Amino acid sequence: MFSTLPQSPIDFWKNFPLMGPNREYLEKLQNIHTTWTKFLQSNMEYNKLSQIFWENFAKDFPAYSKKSYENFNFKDFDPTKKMQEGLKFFDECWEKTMQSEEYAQKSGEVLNNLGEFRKQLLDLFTPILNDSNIASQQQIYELTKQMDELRKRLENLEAQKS
Amino acid sequence: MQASAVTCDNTLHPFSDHAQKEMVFQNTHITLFKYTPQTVKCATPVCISYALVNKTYVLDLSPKNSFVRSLLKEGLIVYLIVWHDPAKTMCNVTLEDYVCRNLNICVDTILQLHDIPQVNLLGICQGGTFSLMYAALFAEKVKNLIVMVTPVDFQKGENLFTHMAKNWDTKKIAGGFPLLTGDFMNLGFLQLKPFDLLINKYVGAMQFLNDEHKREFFLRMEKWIFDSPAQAGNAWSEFIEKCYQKNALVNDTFVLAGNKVSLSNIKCPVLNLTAAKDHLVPNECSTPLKDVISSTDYTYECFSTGHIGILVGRIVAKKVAPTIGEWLQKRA
Repeated sequence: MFSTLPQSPIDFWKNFPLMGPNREYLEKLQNIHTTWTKFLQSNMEYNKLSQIFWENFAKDFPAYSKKSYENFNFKDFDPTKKMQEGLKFFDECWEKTMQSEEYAQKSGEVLNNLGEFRKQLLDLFTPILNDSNIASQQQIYELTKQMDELRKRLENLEAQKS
Repeated sequence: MQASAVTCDNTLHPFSDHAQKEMVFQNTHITLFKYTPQTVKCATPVCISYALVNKTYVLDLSPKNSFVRSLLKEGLIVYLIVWHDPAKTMCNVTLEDYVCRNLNICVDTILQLHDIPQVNLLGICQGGTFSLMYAALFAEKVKNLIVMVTPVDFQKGENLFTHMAKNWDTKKIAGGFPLLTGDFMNLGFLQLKPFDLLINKYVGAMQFLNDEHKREFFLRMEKWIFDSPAQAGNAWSEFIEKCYQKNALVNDTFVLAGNKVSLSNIKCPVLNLTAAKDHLVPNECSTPLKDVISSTDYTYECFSTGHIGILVGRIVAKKVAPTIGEWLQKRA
């Protein structure tokens, strides 16, 4: 059951042997917890990317401020225009962050883990909804797919007939 | 004409001052509208296929900023395909449904209505990629092909979507999101230029609030931008995997409905229109089209505007529509 002692009660529960009539449900709950933890971890990693953004900002800011000072129009100063220029500079730093390999990898992991978590969540709720005589979202999609297939067959038959 | 089962509002347009049109076909997935010009200068109609990520009413946003009306002024008979929102009707559609089935139904309907063997096909953005696939598979039905701001080589240039998409596990994402909502997709687009799109744009808008026309246009654009339809997970995942990750169109490995989509099958005249300031589909992604098709009549034109500007800006009536009109009339 445990090769080492569990670190926390949740760790104990996650490795709890699957027995009894609710074993499938327990397994789903255990899996969903693991996926949720993965998603949170990847999200935390993603949030750390703000460091790359500030590094880009610190690197480019001296050149930006120098250029901004040289082009400063003291006679017709427009604060709105100046603010917009400044925000564009933020966007440029952000774009450089997005172009990094690290960003692509970590933002991808967040999306992948979110998709996985959501799929398990949908699977988990299906039997609960079915017990209440309600179809799940996936079952409705499956039904629309079958109806669509039938429509396609009808169209093909009509085309053959004409 | 089939009865409308999808919506009570048969115009599929949020503003009442849209151009006069006629619904010629509707099924669960699509509605086909016909716009007729006052004087017809080109007998072969133009069928417009737009992207799935936004709604088509941007092509007729207001009487003064309307791509469709500009084409009508050029004497073209315009057919517009409106893809229905999968959130309401079709969660399991695939690229095969969009290209081989629905686009084909529209083209067949037009051919039947006009009793002609071929149609002019105009694809915009992702709709342009669909048009290329269609023209490669059903070359005999396409007389002239026009593509606007259309990605062909998805791995050329500084394409941020390609850069991010290479790490996406599309099966996992589509598994959790059988429907990718419009808001979810919009978040992705806003992420490309967050400060500009979330702050600068509205600060800039303060300067023309007193101008009624500009204010009206701005509000209509806002309505359209945040009115994105959902994406069917299956079609989205297939498009990302085949186009962005495998670059299958250019690598000649794209298979649709069991048939190889070989762009070298395209032999009809092709007009490729791009926007120089396009941050969604960089020009480098569109220009390789010339090298992958077999057409000997290829025209390329680049306009000094952005991805959306080529459809709604002042340049539309002045340059874009006349370019299309003249090009088509020469090949009528």
